[in-house]
Amino acid sequence: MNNLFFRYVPGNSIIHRLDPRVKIAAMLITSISIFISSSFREMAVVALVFFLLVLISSTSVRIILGAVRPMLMFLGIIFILQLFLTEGNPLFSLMGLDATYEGLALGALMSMRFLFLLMFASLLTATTAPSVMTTGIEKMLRPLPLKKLGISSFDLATMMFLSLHFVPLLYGSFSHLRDAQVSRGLDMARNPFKAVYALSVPMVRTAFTSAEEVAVAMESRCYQGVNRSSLNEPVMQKKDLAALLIFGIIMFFLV
Amino acid sequence: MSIDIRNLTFRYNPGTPLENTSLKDISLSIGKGEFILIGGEIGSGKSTLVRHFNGLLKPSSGQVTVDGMAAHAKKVKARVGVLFQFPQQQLFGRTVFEDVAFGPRNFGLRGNELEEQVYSALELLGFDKEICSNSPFHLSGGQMRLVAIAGVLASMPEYLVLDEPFSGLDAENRTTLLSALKHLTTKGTSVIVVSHRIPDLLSAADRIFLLDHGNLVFGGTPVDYVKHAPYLPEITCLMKEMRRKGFDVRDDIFHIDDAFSEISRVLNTKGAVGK
Amino acid sequence: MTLMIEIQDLLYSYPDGTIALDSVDLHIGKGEFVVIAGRNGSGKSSLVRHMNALLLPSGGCVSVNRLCTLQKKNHPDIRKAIGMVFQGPDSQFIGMTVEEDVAFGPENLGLPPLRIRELVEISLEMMGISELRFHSPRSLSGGQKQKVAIAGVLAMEPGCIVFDEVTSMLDPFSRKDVLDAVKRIHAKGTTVIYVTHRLEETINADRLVIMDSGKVVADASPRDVFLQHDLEMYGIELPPVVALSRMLTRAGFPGIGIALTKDELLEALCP
Repeated sequence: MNNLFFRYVPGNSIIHRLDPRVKIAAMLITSISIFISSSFREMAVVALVFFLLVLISSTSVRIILGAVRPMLMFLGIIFILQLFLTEGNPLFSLMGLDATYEGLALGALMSMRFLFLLMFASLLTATTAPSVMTTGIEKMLRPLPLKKLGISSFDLATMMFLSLHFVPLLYGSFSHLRDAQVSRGLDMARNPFKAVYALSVPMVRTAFTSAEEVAVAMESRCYQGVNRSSLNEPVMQKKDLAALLIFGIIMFFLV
Repeated sequence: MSIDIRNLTFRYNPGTPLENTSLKDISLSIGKGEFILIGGEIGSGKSTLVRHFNGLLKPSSGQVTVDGMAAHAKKVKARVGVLFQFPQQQLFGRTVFEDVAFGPRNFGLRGNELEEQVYSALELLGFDKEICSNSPFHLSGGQMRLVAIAGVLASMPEYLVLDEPFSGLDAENRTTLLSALKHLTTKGTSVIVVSHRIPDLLSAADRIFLLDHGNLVFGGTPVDYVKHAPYLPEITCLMKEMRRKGFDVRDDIFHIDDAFSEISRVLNTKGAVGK
Repeated sequence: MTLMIEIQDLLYSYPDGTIALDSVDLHIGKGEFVVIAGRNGSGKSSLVRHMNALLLPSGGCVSVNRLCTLQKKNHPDIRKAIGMVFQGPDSQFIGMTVEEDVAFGPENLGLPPLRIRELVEISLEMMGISELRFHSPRSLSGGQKQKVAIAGVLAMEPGCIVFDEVTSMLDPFSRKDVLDAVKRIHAKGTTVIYVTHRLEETINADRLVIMDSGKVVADASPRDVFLQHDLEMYGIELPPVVALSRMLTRAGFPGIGIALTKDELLEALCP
C-alpha cells in the first residue's frame, strides 16, 4: 500500500494554520475554477497557483506524487478515450481508430483537470489534520437542516473520519490474511476465484468485528453524536476570512 | 532432515530511505521432532524470521533450506505449516470441516484420506466429530483459535510454526494445545513456537532461541537458559535466592514439581538435623 | 466505604437464549482494587460490560453511584463515572494521533478546548507518554498502545476504571509497565476493576472475584480465595509461587501457608 496516499504531514506554515473551513471553501472554489477553465492558458494559471501554495506550505513533492501515482492509469484512460473519441482533424490512426488534434487537446485538458483536482486535494489533506478537517466539515454542515433527516452534522463528520481510519486497518488485516492463507497452500495466481473467497469472507468478518469494537469503544467514551467540542476548535479570524477573500478574487480574475 | 538457516540477513525496503535491517546474520538449525521456542520482544525480528521458514519472505543474503530444498520452493509450503497471530481471523468456511479441509485440499488431499486428516486434527485438539458440521463463527474465541490450528495440522506439516499461539488463551485451552503440540513432537513433527512467554513454556521445550534487535543472542536447552538468560521463571529465581541464603538446593530448576521435591528434600534433612 | 457499583441478582442472556450471567451479586466500594478472573467464556467480560451500560440486564439491576443502568438518561453520567479499557489494541483508537485520541472522550463531554488541552496534558503525563503525542497510535508497540488507551480514559476523570484483559497480548516487560500504571492510578484514589486470567499480576488486589459459568463462585481477599478454593476446577492457573506454597503446606510442612509472592515464600522458608 502506498502510505503516502492523501496523507497528513504536520507542519507550521500559514497554510497549515488556516481555518479548515477556509481551506475547504478554497478547495471548492478551486474545483469550480478548474472545471470551468477551458484553455491551456487558464490551466497554466491554476498550475502557478498550485506551485505557489506548495511552496508556501513547504509540502514535499513526494506527498503530492503519492496521491497522483495510484490514479495515473485512470488519467491515462481519460486521455486515450478523449484522444480517439473526439471528432476533428486526424492526427494518426491506430487499429481503425482515429486520433485527432482536437482529441489530443481535449484529452490533455481533461486529464490535467483531474490531475490538478487530485493535487489540490492532496495539498488540502497534507496540510490539514484529519480531526481538524472533520471539525471544519462538521461546522460547515451545522446550519443545514440535517436534523430533519435524523442525522446530526457530528455523525456525518465522524462517519467520514472513521472511513479514513479504517483504510489502514483493513489493509493491515488484508496482508495478514494473505500470508495466512498462502501458508495454507492457497495459490492466488492459479486459483483466483478461491482466493477471492478465502480472503473476502474473513476480511468482511474482520471489518465487521472491528467496526463493532470501535463502536463499543466510542460508546463507552460517551460518544453521543451531539454537542461535541474539539481539542483544536477552529476560530475563524479576520486573517482567515481575508485569505479566503483574496484567494477567491485571484481565482475569479485569473481563470 | 531439518530446517537449516545459514547467515540469514533480511532488510525491509532495500535501496530506499526506509531500509531497515530486521535480521542480522542468523544461523540455526531445527531437527525432526524438536520442540523449539523462539523468544524476544516485539520488534526483535521473531515474526520476520518465521516468514522465512516457508518462503513468504526471501533472505536478502544467506540461505534458508527445508529438508535440503530452498524455502520458497512450492513443495515447502506443504512441509512447513505456519500459523500467524490471531489465526481465528483467517477462518472462512461455512462449516468447521470445510475450513479445516482447506489447507490439505490445497496440497492435493482428497476423499477418505482428507476426511481422516481433518478428523484426527480436530480430535487431537479435543473436539468431537459432531463439531464438523457447525459454523466456525459460533464458537468461542478460544475454540476458534483451536479450529484454526487444526486447519494447519490437517495438512500434516513436518514442521509446525506457531506465532504466539497461547496469547489470550485461558489455562484450559493452553493445556489442550500444549499437550497436542507435545504429542506431535513424539510423532516426529517439529514444533516451533514463537512467544514472549518463554519462562512459562520452558518445561515443554527442547531448545530455545532468543532474538534481540534482529540478532540471535541465545540458543540452547532449557537448562542453559536458566543459567544464562535475562528473564527467568519465578521458580528459578526462588531457587537461586534460596541457594544464596545457604540452602543446598539446585538452582537450574523451572518446574514446580522439581522445586517441590528439592525444597521438601532440604526441609526434611534440615528438620532431621534439628531433632 | 461509599458504594460505587451495586449489582443485584443480575441475569443476562444472549439474544439466542444462552445464559451469560446468572444471579450475580456484587458490591464494589469507592477506591477498591477488585480483580475479576475466570476462564474464557466464564462471563467476566459480560459482567464488566454491565458496569458502564454497554450491556443491560435481562433481569436484576445494576447501578452506578445509585444510578440504574436500565434508564437511558443515566447512561452519560454512568459512562463518565466508569471508564473502560479493552483488550484489543487497535480497534479502540479513534484519533489519528495520540493526542487526538486522548481528547476524544473529553470532546464528547463537550468541554471547552482549553480544559480539554489541560486534561490531555495531565493524562499523557500520568502515563509517561507525553513525547508520543503526535505519533499515530497504530505505529506504537503493544504496551504503548495500551497506555494511550488508558490515558484516553483518564482524560475523562472517571471515578472508576475497568481494565478488561489489557495485558493479555503483551510481553512481560510491557505487562509490568502497564500493571505499574494501573497501580499508580489506584494509588490516586481511583476505583480499579481488573479483569484477567493471569492471577500473578494482581496479588496485591483488595479482592479477588472468581467467575465460572456466569456465576460468582468466589469473592474474598486473594489469600483467602487461594486457601479455600481449588481454582484449577474453574480453569484458572495458580501463580507458580502460590501453587508451590500450597503444595508444601498440603505436604505437611508447617509455617508456610499460602505465600502470595516469592519474597513471602522465601521469608517462610528461611526466616
